[in-house]
Amino acid sequence: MKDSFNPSIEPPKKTVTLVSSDGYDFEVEEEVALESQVIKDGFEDKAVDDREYLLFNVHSDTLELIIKYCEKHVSSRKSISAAAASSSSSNGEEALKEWDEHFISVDTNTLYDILMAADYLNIKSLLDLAIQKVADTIHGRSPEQIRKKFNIENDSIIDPWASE
Amino acid sequence: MDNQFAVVPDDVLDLVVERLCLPDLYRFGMVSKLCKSVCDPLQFSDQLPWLIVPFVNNINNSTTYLRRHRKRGWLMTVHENSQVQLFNPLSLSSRVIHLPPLTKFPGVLNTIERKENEEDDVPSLFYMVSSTIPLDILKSSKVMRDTYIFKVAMSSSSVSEGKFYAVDNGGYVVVVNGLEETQEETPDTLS
Repeated sequence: MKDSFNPSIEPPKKTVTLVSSDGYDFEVEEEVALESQVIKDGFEDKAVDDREYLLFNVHSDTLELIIKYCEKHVSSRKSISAAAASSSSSNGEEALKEWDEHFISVDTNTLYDILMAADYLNIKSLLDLAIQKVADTIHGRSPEQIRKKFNIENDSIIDPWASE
Repeated sequence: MDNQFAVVPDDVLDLVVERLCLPDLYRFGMVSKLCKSVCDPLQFSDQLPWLIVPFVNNINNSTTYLRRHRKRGWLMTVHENSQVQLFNPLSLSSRVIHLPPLTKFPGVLNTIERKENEEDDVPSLFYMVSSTIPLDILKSSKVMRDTYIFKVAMSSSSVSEGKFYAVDNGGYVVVVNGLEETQEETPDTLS
């Protein structure tokens, strides 16, 4: 309780352990982990020394990306609100948007992994980002091109433009 | 890791579908059965009602009347200035096929231009159409545009003679000539 009366001393960051499906531990700051609505729900009910989450559906490769995304968004939000508080001009949101765009420019396998992890962990902004990327990838492509891009088998739908 | 996107949960796929425009949606629905199933309620039935509002209303007063082929999304446009065009708005290619104008259709004996009202600057087009009643009928270009082509049928077989036989809505067999004169071009108004 002392810390809350003395803001000049930063309290030690509370951390949470995330365990990937292939058994790797990732120790992340609490606020980063709380970007996931699934972790946030019921977080307070969990004992402090039991803040470990087994993510059965998320591979370590993907989890690393997810954590990178959440860390970036937590820190950006802070700097954006700090800039707003000091009413100094900031292009933080613009820069974050650019960062997002770069972040999601991945191959379709990785995009799929991010999409599924964002859905599983319920990280809304990341899910939105991944879904928009899928929609953008579909945009302007013929059915055959979409199948190739996403590696989807044609199960008997007759494609009237296949000959084009 | 094959075929991953075939097992995306429906609720996620729904979110993707929500962000697609109609042509994208139409094409996406063709990808697989699952894709088609999430594209409900469109379902791409051949009876899909599809309203297209004419957007060209230029100085030639050539408003367009659209006839949609029931399959494959082809559209036929009939213009008040007698032009008839065929194109597929959902196809990636934006070619427009020019069909013989209404003035060359069977039954059209002659066309004349005359001013409907004294104050009109541009004379209107009128069609002299053969009729079963003794007198030939003079029809305005608007009436011709809206009523002369009743239904569009398409065939993939090549018609080397450029001749089509059709039954008109009065039950008469008509012959359409001159399809060898059709030409294609890429217009800049479509993409």
